[in-house]
Amino acid sequence: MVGTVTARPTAEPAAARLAAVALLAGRKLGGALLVIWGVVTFTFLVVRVVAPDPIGLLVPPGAGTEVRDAVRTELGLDGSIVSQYGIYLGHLARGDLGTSFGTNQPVSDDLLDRFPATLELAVPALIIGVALGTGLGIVAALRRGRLADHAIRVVTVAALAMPPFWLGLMLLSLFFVSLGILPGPIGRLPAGVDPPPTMTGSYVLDALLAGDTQTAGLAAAQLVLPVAVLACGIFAPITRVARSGMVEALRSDYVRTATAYGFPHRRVLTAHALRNALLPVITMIANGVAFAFTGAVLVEGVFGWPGIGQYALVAVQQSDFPALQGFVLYAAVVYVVLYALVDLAYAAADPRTRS
Amino acid sequence: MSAALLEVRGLSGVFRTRAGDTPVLHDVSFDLPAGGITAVVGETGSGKSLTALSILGLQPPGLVTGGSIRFDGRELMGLDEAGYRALRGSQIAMVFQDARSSLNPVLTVGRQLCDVARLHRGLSRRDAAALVEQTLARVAIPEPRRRMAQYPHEFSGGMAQRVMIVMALLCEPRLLLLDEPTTGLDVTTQADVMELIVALTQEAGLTTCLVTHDLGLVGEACDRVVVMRRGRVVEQADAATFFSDPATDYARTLLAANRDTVDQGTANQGTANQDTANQDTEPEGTA
Amino acid sequence: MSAAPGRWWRHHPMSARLGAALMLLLLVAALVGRLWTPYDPNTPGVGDPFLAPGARHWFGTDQAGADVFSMTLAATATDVWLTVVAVALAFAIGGVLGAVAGYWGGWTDWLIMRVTEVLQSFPALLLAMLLVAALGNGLVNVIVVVAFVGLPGYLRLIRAEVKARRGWEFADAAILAGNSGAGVLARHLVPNSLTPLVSYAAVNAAWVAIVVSSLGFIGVGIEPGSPEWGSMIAGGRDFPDEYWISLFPGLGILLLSTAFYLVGDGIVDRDER
Repeated sequence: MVGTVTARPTAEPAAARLAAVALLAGRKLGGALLVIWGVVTFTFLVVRVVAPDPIGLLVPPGAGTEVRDAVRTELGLDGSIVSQYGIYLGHLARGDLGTSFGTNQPVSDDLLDRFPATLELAVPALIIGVALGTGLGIVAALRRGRLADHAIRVVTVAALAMPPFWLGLMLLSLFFVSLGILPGPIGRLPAGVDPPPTMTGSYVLDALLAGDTQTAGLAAAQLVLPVAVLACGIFAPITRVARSGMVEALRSDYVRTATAYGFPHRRVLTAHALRNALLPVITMIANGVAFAFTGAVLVEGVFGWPGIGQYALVAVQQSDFPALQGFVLYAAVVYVVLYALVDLAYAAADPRTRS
Repeated sequence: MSAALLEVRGLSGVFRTRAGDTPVLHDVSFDLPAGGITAVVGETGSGKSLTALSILGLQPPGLVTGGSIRFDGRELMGLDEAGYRALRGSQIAMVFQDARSSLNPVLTVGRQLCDVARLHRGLSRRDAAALVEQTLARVAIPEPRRRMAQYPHEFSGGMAQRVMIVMALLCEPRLLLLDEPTTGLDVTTQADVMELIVALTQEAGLTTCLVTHDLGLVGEACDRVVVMRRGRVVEQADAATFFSDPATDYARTLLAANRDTVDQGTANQGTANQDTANQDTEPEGTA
Repeated sequence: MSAAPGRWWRHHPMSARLGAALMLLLLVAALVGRLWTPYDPNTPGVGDPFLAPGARHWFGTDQAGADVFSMTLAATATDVWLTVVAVALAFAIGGVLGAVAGYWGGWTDWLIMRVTEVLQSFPALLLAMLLVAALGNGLVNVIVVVAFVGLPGYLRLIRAEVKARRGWEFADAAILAGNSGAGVLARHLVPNSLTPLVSYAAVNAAWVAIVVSSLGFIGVGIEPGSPEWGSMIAGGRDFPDEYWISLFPGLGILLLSTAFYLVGDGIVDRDER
């Protein structure tokens, strides 16, 4: 029986799978471009049409008529809304996001300058948040209805219900003002300390690479509180989803099957329950990444962290609309890329989404 | 009749919740004689599935059981995890109601079957794959090698149930427990799967326990019938005796109800809007 | 009339009961804050500046000597009201649009879903900040903007519900009985989809409470000078030694948001049992 079937290599299904993934990726790319175009257009409409005084939004506050006229001419604000839109898209296509009135620099340069700071905050916060969130969620599910489950639930709801900016201020009051064991909200390094030579963009890593452990220590101390606040916003939703995913998996028929066929408990948990339970966590991790890279506006603001979020916050407070438009475009690109990756991750992890 | 492979004596079960205790099994006692098929029949909620699950210690958490279950003379009640593990699969294998959800959706069918073969037969990866392929062919699954690379959602209900039966066969168990194995399948597939179960039981000399609500399915296939109702065993008898001369009113009602549903099934295949009032005058022998 | 709350109480888990109790507490506080506060919340100098919490000033005083307890109590109504109205508005409009998209399908559905996708590609908080900054501060603007930002979630949810239930026999039966499509939508499909929506709305309200206070915190919220928790926290920001100025309004937000989370979880838990 076995011999009659010629051994056919598994390459065929693998190739078909690859083609399916490629097709999916192509479709996603088209959708992604559409969304970015939509975001750009929506922002344009808000600033130029919905706002009561478009020029007021596009020139520095208190600018004289000369500046107003110059901007009016450059952006074609006298022309029809359609021609304005054309000029706007033309600028974007050339990578020209406009000039921030806050910094007097091209917005694209500003964003690039600030990205490393956001990255240095986001990466450790995501690692802590994802690990903590998944771990607590699994523990809660395994100890369902017991003390640990209830305790984790209390912590999770509190973390979700807490405004991050307030948590940041309270932690500063406690650890900086009262106890004096952590530095204040003064950005990435204390005043007077020179940043290390740029290699990775992370001050801690760059200082270590340059052999400057003192600067690395100072930079790490600056990171503690903002990373904690950010991680607090990331772990809680992951915990909830990981818990409910695990509870569902533990009740599932396939886990019962694995148990009924004599597999050891540990193997049932890891090989069967966990893998299914963690599928919905993928989306929550993506939400965490989006939060850390685009939503941490107030956390960066509270800690004076010179990242992209603080840039957007200052832009809102100063009505610096070119900067805001630039940030919105950056955020849209992050979202679109991120959720395309999520789709690919699901296609890889869950065979049901492939067919 | 040969000696009993499994003896259930005075099995009781109580669901313990915060709202209070709900007894669901009362003094359940029956035997499964070695060899042949015993059907445990009852309506939904009669406790037949809970009884079957309790044998392997798979009852839902919250169900507290008492009494005695002896397998081959050994007491199973109060076994620890390791004790049950030695039993599950290799001695007693179970096939569940919804085969598609009983398989892990993110692992290939072949992988899941090979894991079982390797665990219970101590085979190498390669030998396990060969055995799985052979066994799949034995239950009439076409293109077994291609099917092994597929995932459960790519299987029909009937094919998935065959896969579950293969999983049980791979263990070479002494007792095969089938919990509503054909529920949710269409009528033709039900018949095919039942036929397979009967053939395999005879071929492999298995002792098979078939838990079902469907008396019509049991019919000629089984050797012995145990009837359960509201958590109690109300009747147990040889199949021949049971079908010709049921001892209790309840069994008679069950048999009559079964005849009705069969008739209704046939009638509905006819013109949709017509009344089925004159079924007495048209005795159709399709059942 | 008295039986309904009793039954609700017995049929919901602990978390939902706690959430409902918190909600009631906040509603009472909002009402009391409108009618009476120990001191006038808007008057500075009712005590010495920077008094720590004590017998005369339970939550202390701020830099101008205004009573923090009175301000926190007076602000309760603002934040609760803003949250509830914004959620109700998002629920209503998102619900209608989602039902339309799900029921009619076709290009209507396509267009609505693409616009929704675009809106969801903005960081929500920043979209709200951008819109309020463009439209100008004010109570109505904040409500409209926050509702607008939250709308896609409701839209998607009810669209999925309606789509899933469209094929149900009762919809066909109702249409066969001579009802119009819109009538079927309003009387049969939407009420059947309500439970998941209500639990979503509760969890969403918890998030809205934080967004509303965030807008107040950065000063693009309601009219400056009106009592609001987020702007109170911003007021205490420059005085980290006097933590109480920011602590108590923050606890207010925490309570409001927790209450909504617990109620939302409770509804889900009840359904799971």
